[in-house]
Amino acid sequence: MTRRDQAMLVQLADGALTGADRRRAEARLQAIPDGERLIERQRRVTRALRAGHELPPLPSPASPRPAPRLLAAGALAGVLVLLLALATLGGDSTTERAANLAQQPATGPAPEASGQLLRAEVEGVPFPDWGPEFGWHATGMRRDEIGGRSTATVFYEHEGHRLAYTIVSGPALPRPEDARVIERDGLRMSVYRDPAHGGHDVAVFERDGHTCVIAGHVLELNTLLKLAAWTGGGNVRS
Amino acid sequence: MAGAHDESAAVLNMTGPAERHRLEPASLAGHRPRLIRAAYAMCGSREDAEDLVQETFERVLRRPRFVQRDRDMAYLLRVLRHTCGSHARAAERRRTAPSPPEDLEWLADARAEPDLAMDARLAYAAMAELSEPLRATIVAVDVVGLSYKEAARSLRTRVGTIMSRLYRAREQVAAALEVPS
Repeated sequence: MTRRDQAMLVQLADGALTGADRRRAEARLQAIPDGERLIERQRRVTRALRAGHELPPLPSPASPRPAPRLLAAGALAGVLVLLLALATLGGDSTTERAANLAQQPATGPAPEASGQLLRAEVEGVPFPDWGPEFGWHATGMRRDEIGGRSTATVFYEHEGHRLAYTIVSGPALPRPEDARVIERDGLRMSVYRDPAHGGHDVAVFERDGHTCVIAGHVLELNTLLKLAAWTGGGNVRS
Repeated sequence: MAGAHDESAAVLNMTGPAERHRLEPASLAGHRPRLIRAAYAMCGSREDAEDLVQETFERVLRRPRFVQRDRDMAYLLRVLRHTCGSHARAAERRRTAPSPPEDLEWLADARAEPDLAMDARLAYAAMAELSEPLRATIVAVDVVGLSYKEAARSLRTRVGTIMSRLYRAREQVAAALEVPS
């Protein structure tokens, strides 16, 4: 197998290709003997290595490890945990709290698809249906209230990755101050990575004057940007 | 093929504090679980992995470090690899005594399905048998979660090489998952 085919299989397995690139790769896949099985083997390894999202603490029995460095390390770890806790408690903005909804489970089924959209909206702003174009399928939904604003979140999944798309009611919220500003296909997004939640990527932008937040783990930031900026042939208005 | 890596997005406002930020203890703590698994994959011992990550944090915090906001993990992985490389004892442990799968329950989330948890243990055990370039690649992408591009930058190689190595690394690990227990 050529290196080019190996690269293609990796990208297909990771869901790193979209649109025309993905369709070309899928066509090429037909020429690779056992291609689908090879992709599934790749995905199985990825799933296995990402099964450990949280580490339980080490067993408490006395460790035979040398004490001084570990004690220093333990003290530092304690400080880190304390600082993290303080940082977590310290007044997250409504936007950041909306991004944190990506950590929550869905509480209802996915909305039905209707054209390029889903049958779910917040004050007239509908959610996109990314399934046919990108392979990101809506899998569930939840509604919350954050800072006096009602929010709706649709969860999308693709090849083991999960994204949360939240639309916040009311006028647009202030954008995150420390984020990169990226413009893609005319959509201006504030983008940052949230280290407190396993390195999730977050994109904050506006549609029809409402704040929208997409958060989750993607292999390539470009995927997040493409999804956020997708207009669905004009049906998904910015 | 280039779709996942094109740079057509226009990056604005890329100067000043929005571009770089100082690594602080609070932000490092969020990276700790992934770094410990990465360190484990490099050295083969959980205790050594925890020590290596702590030492990595100590090195990073010894003086102010400013990195681009979305490149924390790539930077930390590079420091971790240097830290790991400077510990001959950990390297020796890797060569002589990788943990058997039954000792690796901690690697999988307690909420993971039993089959997935077993796969995780087997996969980490199988990584011990990979060549260094393949192991470094699969650690960077599948354990730490770097993008292909970030991994290429961190490992100082090309994106195409990363994807090719990643394919071969996963193939070798997948073979270990398919061996009947």
